[in-house]
Amino acid sequence: MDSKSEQFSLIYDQYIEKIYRFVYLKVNSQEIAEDITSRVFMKAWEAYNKPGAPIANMSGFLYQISRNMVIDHYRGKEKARMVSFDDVPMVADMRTNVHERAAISADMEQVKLALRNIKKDYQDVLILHYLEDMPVAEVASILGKSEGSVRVMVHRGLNALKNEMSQQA
Amino acid sequence: MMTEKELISRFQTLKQIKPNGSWSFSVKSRILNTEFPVQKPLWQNVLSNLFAIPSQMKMAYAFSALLLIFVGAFGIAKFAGQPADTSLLQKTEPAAILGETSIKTSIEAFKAKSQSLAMLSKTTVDPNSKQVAVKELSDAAKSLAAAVQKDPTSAKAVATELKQDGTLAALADTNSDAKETSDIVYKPLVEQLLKDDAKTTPTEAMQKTIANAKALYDSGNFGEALILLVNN
Repeated sequence: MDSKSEQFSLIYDQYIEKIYRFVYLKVNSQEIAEDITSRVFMKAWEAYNKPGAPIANMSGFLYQISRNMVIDHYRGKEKARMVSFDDVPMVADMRTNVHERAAISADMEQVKLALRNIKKDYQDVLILHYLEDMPVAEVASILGKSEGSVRVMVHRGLNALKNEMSQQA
Repeated sequence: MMTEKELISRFQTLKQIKPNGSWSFSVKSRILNTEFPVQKPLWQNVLSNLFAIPSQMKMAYAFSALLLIFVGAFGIAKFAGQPADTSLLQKTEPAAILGETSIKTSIEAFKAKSQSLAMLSKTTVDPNSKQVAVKELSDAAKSLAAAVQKDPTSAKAVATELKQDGTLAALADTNSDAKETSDIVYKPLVEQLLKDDAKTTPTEAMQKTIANAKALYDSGNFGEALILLVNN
């Protein structure tokens, strides 16, 4: 294995869980999340091998590809007149297997359902800030928003999530 | 009522979501085994294509180039510094036009010199002037005789031209030098006309004329023989 492969292998190990989780929470399907995540890393590997300036912010780069691919995924679904995640948020993914369901606690299931029902922008800031432990500045950089705007979105996102969970209780 | 801290704590339980280990490993292997063609600069592509040519073809190209250089160098060494060859240009001019021009020029020159000599014979007694005129007439006669010998078919036309112009009559009246000079032209003209007549089937009258002309020719009276044949 050459040096580039070794370097990218480390990057892969560092980000695979985070990217998979980010995508999974957006699409709510193991199969689709695996497909999108693998394509994200394939695209990143291709970009990593291109001659020229190296990728300065790998984390931001991977999340940006992930967000675009999730958006493309939903656009494709709309075109195919398939059931949209946003249109029917309360419907659980039937492809989630029994083992997976058992592994996820009741609390997790409740949070997942609540997360699906809030705005996509709120989903992004809450996942990146509280699950991936990114500082506000980095979240702002990835989403292309100001730090102040991200802080407001974090606050509103938490309120929206709290309201959703209160309604489910 | 749930506090914000509790909410965040419950939200962070989602960190337990992880990808399948075997799937993660297989994707990693598949991605790292994918090779992307590296885009090389144009000059590198050209060089690599050049080096990719088989060695036998390389030798053939090298030999061809060497052969071209050798032939070029040989050609330059052979012809460098030599004047341009104009002979080819001269050869390309139509021979018929040249021959026609030569006969006409010779006739005109012969007529002019004959008239000059005839005039001198009548107007001056200076022997030097007559000698010069005879010499010039001799040169013109030789030139015309040579032109007729080159183109024998023009003999009849030349003889007719000289008769109609009065040159034959004019020279008949001059001295013996002029007669000898004019014979240079008359002799070949008579010979050619006799040859031409021998090829035809003459009438009785013509046969008599030809016989008389031959007799005059044999006796050295070329001028009279020519006049007889032209009148025929």
